[in-house]
Parts: sequence; C-alpha cells; structure tokens
Amino acid sequence: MTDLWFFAVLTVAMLALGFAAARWRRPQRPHSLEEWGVGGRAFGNWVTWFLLGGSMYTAYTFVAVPAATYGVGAIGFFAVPFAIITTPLMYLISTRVWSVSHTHGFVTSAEFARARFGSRGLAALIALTGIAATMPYIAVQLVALQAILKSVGVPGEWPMLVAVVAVSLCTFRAGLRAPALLSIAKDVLLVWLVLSMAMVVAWSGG
Amino acid sequence: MRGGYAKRSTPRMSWRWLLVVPLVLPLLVTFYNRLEPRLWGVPFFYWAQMACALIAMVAITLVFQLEKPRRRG
Repeated sequence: MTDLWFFAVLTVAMLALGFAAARWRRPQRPHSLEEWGVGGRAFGNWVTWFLLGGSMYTAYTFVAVPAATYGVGAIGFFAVPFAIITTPLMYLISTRVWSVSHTHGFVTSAEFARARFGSRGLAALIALTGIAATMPYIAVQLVALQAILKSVGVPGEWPMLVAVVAVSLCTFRAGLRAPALLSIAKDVLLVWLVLSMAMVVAWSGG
Repeated sequence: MRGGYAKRSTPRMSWRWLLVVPLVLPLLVTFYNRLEPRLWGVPFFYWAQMACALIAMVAITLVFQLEKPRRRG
C-alpha cells in the first residue's frame, strides 16, 4: 500500500510540474511552432543536457531492455553497443544540423531536408518516417508503463490510457518545455534510484 | 541549395577521425565475448562494454575541444 501511495504522490507531483511547464520562461508568442517545438531555441547547455538525458533514459531503458535481458539473456545487451555507436554518429550529424537549423530557423528535420536538398517529396518522406519510427518506440513506452502500473497494483488498460492522455495534454500545452522540465525532475529521481540500488547491492553483499 | 551553407573557417576537421574508435570497438563482439580478465569480479563482457562507453565519452569530448574554433582577440 505504501508503494501505491508513494507512486501516486510522485505521479501527481510530476503531472503538476508538466502542466506548470507551460508557464516556465513564458515567451512573448507562446503559440508559434518554434516555441512549441524547440522551446523558442532558448534552452541552454544544462537544459539541453537534461533533455537529452531524459530522452535516453526512458521506460525502454529501465523496463524494456532489462526485461529483455532477463528474459532472453545476453542478446538484450544489444542496447549498450547500440547507444555507444549512435552517440559519436549523432555528435557528427546533430551538431551540423543544429547549427544550420539555428541559422535558418528550421524546427523539424523535414524543413532541414527541404532546404538542403530542395525536395518537397524528400521532406514529406522524412516527416512520415519520423512519425512511423516513433510509433514502435511509443508502443514500448506504453507497454513498459503498463508493466509499472501493474507492479504497483493498478492493472488493466484504463490507468495506462489515463496516464497517456495526461502526458499528451502536458505536451500539447507546453510543447518541448514539458519534457525538458520533467527531464530535470526525472534525473533527480534517477540519481536517487542509482544510489538506492548501490546501497542495496552494497549491503546485501552483491 | 547544394553547398549553400557557408564554409566557415573551421580548421582541423580531421580530429573527428578519432570517433572511428568508439564506432568500431563495440562492434567487435568476438573480442569482448569472454569472461577473463575480470575487473573486481565482473566478467570482461560486461566491463568492456562499459569501458567502450567511457572511451566514446573521452573521444567525443576530445573532438569537440580540439575542433572548437578558437576565440579571436
């Protein structure tokens, strides 16, 4: 029962933070795509760092990959080299895309592709690929969320749907500000988690 | 638009070849698919991958710092 209460308090706090994010560093024109999609390009190094951390350490990292490793063994370790290889690649690609997009005011990778290669078709294809490629990732998050809800004693699909609607509303209202602010809160919880795990392992002798 | 993005004065782009190291190391599974040598009792398979993550971190930091355009005056 304590688990459930703890979980409920944390969830409510996170949701409040998510909805408050719309007010965080409120811009002049809050309804432009630039404000919504890239936080008005006003995020500094720290917020960007937390946001990147937030997009790396998700339910996929915490539930799906460990569960896969537990279930099928070492093959679940694909995730570690995968993350290591993509980081230098993304360093090369994303820094370039970032500086070009910053200069020309692009918000999405489709806009970048249209300007770079002068093709509307390619831009549309990239936009569609982006949406399609996000779907399985979101599905993994939902399955993991359902597993978490089940483990605290709230089984079924309804709690998951409620959670998804709440998160969608947060993001709809605040744009990138919501995940950015929530990432900071999440990283605080993460440090707590890692310390607790280290203490459990240290005290139980491995 | 090809080539439309200005060639800024970014010297020493060759440092980024350092990134090949963290790109290739994690792909050599046969190299780290072994138990020995252990590090604090952890099999090589596990700690080598974590070491790769550290190597990637060091390589990216080096490339960034070395390629960063120097501030003038």
